[in-house]
Amino acid sequence: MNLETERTPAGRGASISLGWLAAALILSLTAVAWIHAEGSKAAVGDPVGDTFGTGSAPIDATHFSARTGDGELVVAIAFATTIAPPSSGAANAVAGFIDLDVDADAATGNVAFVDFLTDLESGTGSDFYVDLLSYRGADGQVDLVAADGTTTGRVPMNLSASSLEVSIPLELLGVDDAIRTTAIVGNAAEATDALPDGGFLQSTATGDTVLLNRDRFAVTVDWRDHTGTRGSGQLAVRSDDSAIFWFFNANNWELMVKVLNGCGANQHFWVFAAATTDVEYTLTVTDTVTGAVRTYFNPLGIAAPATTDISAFNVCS
Amino acid sequence: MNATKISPDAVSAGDVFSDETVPGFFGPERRPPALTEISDSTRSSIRIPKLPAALTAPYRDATAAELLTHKARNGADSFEHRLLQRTTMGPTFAELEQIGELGSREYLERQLHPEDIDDQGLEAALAEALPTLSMTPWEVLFQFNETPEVPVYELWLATLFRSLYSPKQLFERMVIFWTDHFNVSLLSDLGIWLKPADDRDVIRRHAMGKFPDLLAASATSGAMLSYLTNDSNVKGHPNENYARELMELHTLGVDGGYTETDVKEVARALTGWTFWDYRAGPQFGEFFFNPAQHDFEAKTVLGQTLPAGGGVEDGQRVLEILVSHPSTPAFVARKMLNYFWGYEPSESAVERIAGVYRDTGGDIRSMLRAILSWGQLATATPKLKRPYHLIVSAVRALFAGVENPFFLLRAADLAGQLPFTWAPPNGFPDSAGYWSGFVLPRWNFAATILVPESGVVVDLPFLDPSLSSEEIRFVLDLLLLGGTMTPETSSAVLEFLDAAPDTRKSLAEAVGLVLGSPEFQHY
Repeated sequence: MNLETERTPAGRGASISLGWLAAALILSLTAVAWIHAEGSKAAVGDPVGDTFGTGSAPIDATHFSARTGDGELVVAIAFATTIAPPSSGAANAVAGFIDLDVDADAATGNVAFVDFLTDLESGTGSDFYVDLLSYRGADGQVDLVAADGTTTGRVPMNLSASSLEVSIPLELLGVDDAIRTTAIVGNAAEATDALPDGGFLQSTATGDTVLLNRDRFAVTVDWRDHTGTRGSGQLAVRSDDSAIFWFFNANNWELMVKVLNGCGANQHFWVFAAATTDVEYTLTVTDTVTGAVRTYFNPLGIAAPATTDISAFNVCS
Repeated sequence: MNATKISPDAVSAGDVFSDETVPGFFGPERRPPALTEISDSTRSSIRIPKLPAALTAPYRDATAAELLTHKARNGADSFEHRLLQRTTMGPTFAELEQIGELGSREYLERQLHPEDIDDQGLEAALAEALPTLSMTPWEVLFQFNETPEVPVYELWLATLFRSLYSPKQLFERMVIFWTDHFNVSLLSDLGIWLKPADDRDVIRRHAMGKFPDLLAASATSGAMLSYLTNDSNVKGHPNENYARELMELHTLGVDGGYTETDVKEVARALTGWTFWDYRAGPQFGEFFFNPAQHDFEAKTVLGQTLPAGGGVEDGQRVLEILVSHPSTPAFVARKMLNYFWGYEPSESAVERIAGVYRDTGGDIRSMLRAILSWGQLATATPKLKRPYHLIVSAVRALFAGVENPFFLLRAADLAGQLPFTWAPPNGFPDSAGYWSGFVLPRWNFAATILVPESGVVVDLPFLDPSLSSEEIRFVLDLLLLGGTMTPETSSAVLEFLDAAPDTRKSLAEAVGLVLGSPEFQHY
């Protein structure tokens, strides 16, 4: 991996190995003012119908998330309609790229595909990208490609009827920190949706933020004990909809949270929580699609009661 | 019998002619001519196609004000520009405008259907000026056996003008690709007479069709059978030349899984595959299966048995085996990716394009659509323009007229890539490593393209010396580089313009400076 690879304004891919051009590329960086509009989000919704292109059946993404944990980065994209495997040749076969800026430096790596293919500005430099077209059903994997164009490895991509999830070992990226990511998706003929719509998404360690219910809801816990020590809840175990956090050590679990889809019952998403602690904590649940936030506070010295909020979030689409 | 007294119309199939029919045909004076051996008088006797004005000057009405208000890309590349770079012999400003209006998807679809693109203006001009383009080998031989440089030069002119001005740019790119893939040197023994028909009836006819059809056409082309000496591949004395290249260069690739035994067996299967020589009159150059020369014994090719008693179908069966062999889709896909996408494509990409070949029966158009799709092309890596590409792209970018095509052909020759003159059967190389050593001729071309002797006529009223240096730089960036000029090139151009006198000569030198930049040398 070469994180110091210079950006290539002449286009994606390996830089032209001529000194004149290389020097020109360096100079070009000084004139660019990068925008970091959407940084630090671990998940973001994407409006239905915001696609571009000229075709009648665009691939329309609705949700984009990135999280790190257990030694891997997991990037997930949900879609408004069903998708087919990239290699299928079907009209709804999804193509595209996921760009990874692993050093949070827009000046290294290549131009992100979102910047290259659209008028959007991501404010990132692409140190690696995942090529969705390289998916093969036989191994269920896709190419992870470094900025110099070499294939770093193949990584698993899970496909469902309307979502995909790529898991990338952090050792392949050479980092264990937050990673900035963007994506662009489309069908075989054209790109049709960008993620996010400007700026980038920054993955968060799963110990700090947990994404529940198809990664739509971001859950964090901040605590303060009797000595005044503060911290954030760390993930002990999770399922798609539920998570358990620990505060002081990983053998001592404190708080269980779940976000359930109750739209079929009362047109709301529900938040349930139960704790086995009397330290102060603030549980924050964010709907990454609407931006709505719900917080649940337990005062210091009070045995935490159960939370059963069945009207937490009222946007079901 | 005196050749000059025989009209091609006066003979018919079955007539047999003697060597005296075409006196001196095999004599030393019929050695294929090098470009520089074509005399001024011969060149001046060949008419330069007079193209419709719309083909050569579609932008001359543009004003400086219009160009200067054009949306600048500020050095950033775009997918549309990338697509034009790969689908044309060099983008023109008009094509940048067109793809902006159509969108990359529609633009690509139009280029993938050249049969629907009107190029009558160009083809009519070529047909009028270059009569050998439509002639049979026999007609060419008869009319030009004393002046073989004429059909040679006419084919060069036609190729150059099509590269420069054809609206079917992707098709022309594909023609060049297959010309290399199925290389037949124009300067081989019979290439003078047979290559023009091979270019027309094999390469251009099937360039965007099905690979199996193209292969079959090539395998029955008199030009190919002559070039790779299959006319001497006869029972008992097999000549393996064509059989080997058929597998190594045309289908399987050198690592495609065949053995020396397979080469020998394919050669046996192709015994008797030859062409009519000139003594057959009007059939000269046409495919001919000669049973008397064929080996009718059983053969085994790549594990498949060709039973005894097979005639011409032995060779046909070999072609079927080859086009359906697992190595062929990958070999063709990798080579197409190398040409259109970039050097060293990933195995995933090769496998994907090979899959398109398998799914479509080798449909070239479908493979191109996949290679040039946004999901593939967006990852393309920079390629060094080969000399011919560089020269053509410069003229196209300047939307120039050509009054002295010899200058351009000579420049290509000096830089090592005069069309149809690669002697070995593998075609002109398509690698940066090979061409990066030919730097000086490239720079000389850039520096001299606008000298009066070049015959490259640039009429750009909007490129006015009275414009400021920055305005001139902006226009040059827009026209020659599609707005992708790097800061370093910008600085170099501005520094030059600021120091130069406000003359047309200075502008020409500034153009040369941009054409010599790394941005223009690559695509």
